[in-house]
Amino acid sequence: MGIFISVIILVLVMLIQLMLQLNTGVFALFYHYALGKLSRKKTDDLCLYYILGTEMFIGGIWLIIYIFLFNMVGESGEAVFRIMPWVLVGVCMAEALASPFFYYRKGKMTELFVPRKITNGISGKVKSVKTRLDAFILGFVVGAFELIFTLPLYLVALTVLMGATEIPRAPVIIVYIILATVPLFATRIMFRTDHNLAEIERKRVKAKPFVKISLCVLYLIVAGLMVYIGVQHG
Amino acid sequence: MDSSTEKDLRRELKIHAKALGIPSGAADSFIDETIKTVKKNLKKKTVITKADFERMVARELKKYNADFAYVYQNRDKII
Repeated sequence: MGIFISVIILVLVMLIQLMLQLNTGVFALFYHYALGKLSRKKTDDLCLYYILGTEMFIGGIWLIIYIFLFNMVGESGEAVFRIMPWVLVGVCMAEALASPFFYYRKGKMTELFVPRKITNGISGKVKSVKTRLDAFILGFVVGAFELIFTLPLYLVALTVLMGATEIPRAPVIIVYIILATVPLFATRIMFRTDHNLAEIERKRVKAKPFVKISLCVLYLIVAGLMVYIGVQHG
Repeated sequence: MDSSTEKDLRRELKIHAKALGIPSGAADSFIDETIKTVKKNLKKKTVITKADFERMVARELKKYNADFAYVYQNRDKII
């Protein structure tokens, strides 16, 4: 697998991860409610635990998939590289088609196409967070609910990493985990620089069409590159 | 509006006001005025849906602070 193509795929996957909105939306709401109930110091403290929870989830998922794929490669060698890219082409195409139409609900807000029961459950939790453990669990759980969009990204990145032995795996995974929480840190900075939830939401609403189109295009490019990898591995 | 609804509404509005950085004195005054007007408007209606009630509260809040109204009205539409 060419190192150039591999790096491009990894960058695209990271860009997609940066654009996903569930965690950002929950975090903004969480920060808002915490700020409304607690002191700024306590809110900042809790928000770090929220971010830590998210990072732990992403790290854990990486580890599980890594072990799973590594075992598959160990047992069946090249077979995984013959099948996996084609499976991921299908998944990425599906995500690309779903992004413009089903990622957000219709309306003027940033409501996502997540089952109402789940969003109500998350909203209830967001309003009741008081301890570091609550914040950590919330961050962890939200990461899990975002899996439908993030799992293909992990699989694409790991398939690429396993094929391109020239690229060091551990640093890429660490960069990925850190990058995944960049939107959360950005939201935190916005709150700390006297932006409020209304201003942040208006910005997110404004960016909605851009996010939808970008996700679609990025998933399509990744699918195209996975076709290239699939053909290469015959 | 029964007393528990008013209490819940007042508590929720106070949380939003603090998070938005509205000074507590001003926030209390906005909330009191809003609740007073909403109560008055409710007397004219026999039936009202939750959405109508929230719209009514948001409309009143908007007179004092647009961000306050925006956050209250859209709080369930962010995730």
